[in-house]
Amino acid sequence: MITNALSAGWTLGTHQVFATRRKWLSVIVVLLPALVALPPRLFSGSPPAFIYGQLVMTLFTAILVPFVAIFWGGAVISDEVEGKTLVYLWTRPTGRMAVLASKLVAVFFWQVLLLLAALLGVFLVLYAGRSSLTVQSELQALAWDLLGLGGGAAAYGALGFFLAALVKKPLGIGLVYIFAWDNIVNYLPGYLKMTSIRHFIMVLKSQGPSIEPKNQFTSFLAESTTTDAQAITAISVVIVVCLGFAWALLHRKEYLGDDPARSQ
Amino acid sequence: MSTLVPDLKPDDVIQFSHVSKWYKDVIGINQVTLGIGPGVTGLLGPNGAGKSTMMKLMTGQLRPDTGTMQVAGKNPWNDSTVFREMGYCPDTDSFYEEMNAQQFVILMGRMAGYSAAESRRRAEESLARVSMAAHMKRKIRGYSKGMRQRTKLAAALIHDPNILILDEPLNGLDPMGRHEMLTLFKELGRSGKTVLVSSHILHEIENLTQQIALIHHGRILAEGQIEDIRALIENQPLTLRVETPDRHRVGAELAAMETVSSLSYAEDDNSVVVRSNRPESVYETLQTGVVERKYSVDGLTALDDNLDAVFSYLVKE
Repeated sequence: MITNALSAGWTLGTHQVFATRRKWLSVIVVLLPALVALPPRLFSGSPPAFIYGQLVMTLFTAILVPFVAIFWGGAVISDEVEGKTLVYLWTRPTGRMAVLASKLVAVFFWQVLLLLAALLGVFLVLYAGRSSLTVQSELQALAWDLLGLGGGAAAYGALGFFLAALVKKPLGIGLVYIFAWDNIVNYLPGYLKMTSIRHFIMVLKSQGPSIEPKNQFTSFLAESTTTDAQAITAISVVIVVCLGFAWALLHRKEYLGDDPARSQ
Repeated sequence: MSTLVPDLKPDDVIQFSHVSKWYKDVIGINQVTLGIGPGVTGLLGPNGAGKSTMMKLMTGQLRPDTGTMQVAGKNPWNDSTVFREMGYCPDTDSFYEEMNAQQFVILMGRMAGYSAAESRRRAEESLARVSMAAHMKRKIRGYSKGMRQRTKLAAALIHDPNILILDEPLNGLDPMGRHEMLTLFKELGRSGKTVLVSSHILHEIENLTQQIALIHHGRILAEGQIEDIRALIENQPLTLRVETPDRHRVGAELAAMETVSSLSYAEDDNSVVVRSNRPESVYETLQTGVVERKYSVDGLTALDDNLDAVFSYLVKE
């Protein structure tokens, strides 16, 4: 019985990513990075590893992964709330969480798959026609990047899920976090950067040295002693804590739908 | 009016006991005690009376602030197994718009725990039951209001629940659709299921069932058979139409009665319209007159022994 309900949640998650009007976001996620990589490949003399590193650092780590993950993570709940379809999930014998959990897993799975496709697209654009030796040496970097970005996507996704459980419109808060807070604290000395998911992704990323800030002062500010193990642990903690709080909120929360004065 | 709200019975499938629900400082329902047993029951009240609040409490979407509430002996807020026995058709017109009705109802079947094949079989059966078989492959986005209502009903019926909570299920249906759905609800009620149908349209419910609960401003005003509720309302004059070829003779006799508060002659037919605080005295007088061959009476109709009148009386009180 539960497996059938979980499978329904998976179907719902897949439907959300590919069958709704938001499928265009999925298309953009896959194609945009490759399109962005094309001009530097054609017109810049920089080595592919450098361009690749820049793209991972700027486009993926700072924009694409946080935005897509927080958006989809929040949409798992907020689409149901705004579309008033949560009632169908809430009134099923498997309980409130089973379907929602499998929907979240499905959304995360497809999100990581889309990011992988996007990374591979960039890789192909930059390394097409290069010697197989160069490509082989960079494949390991690609795997590490995927690991870091996948972990980051899971953490941002869990944060989005938590925010959606907390407030009706989670995207605004999510955007402030990823585009303001995440940016600022990474260039502040001290432990504030420990509140940034992006910081931990940057620790895990493979292409760091080539794109660290050149300026000595900013290098000092951005300096971090966080290890890979600490980053993995921190990302795991963010995921567990966000999902835990979201679960607790969802168990207690009443979704009224309309204004009660009109909906009674 | 407390006499109009009977105590809970052990066989009541749905039980509210002194339940109140607040939306911040707005009260949704106030100290509601209500029992609903098998068969079709109409939950009636104007918009904003508290019908949807009650249904959301029954379906575990809201938690009572005070009192206790049970459906099939379980608390729907924290025991989701109750939904094995319960189907719910919400009043909101919400769907996964890009799906078609078949996909949507199959999804509901899967969420109810059925395999893909079983969900498909049940979905097709359920959609056929609400006359949606011909349209089930079309996207929901393009459906009329009536088709959307039918799709929601099919989703509520897919797991053949013993308890059906239907929030304004006839909204948007055309007359033919209403007739079909009313027939379906009656069938379900006759088969022993507990069917609770909310509406703010009185005649809709009157055509469906005689068992009603009236709610107004978050309070249950009355519960039971329409006639019984009417009979319990004391000091409310009942309007009767007496069809007779001897209307002046009948009118003269009735006008002389102390219990008759008003009397008029209908212009276009042979009838007298009379209002009385004690309608049984009018019945007795007419019966005596007929037996004594003073006049003949062709028909006697209680004009306001219907839900509309009952509701007006109760709300006025």
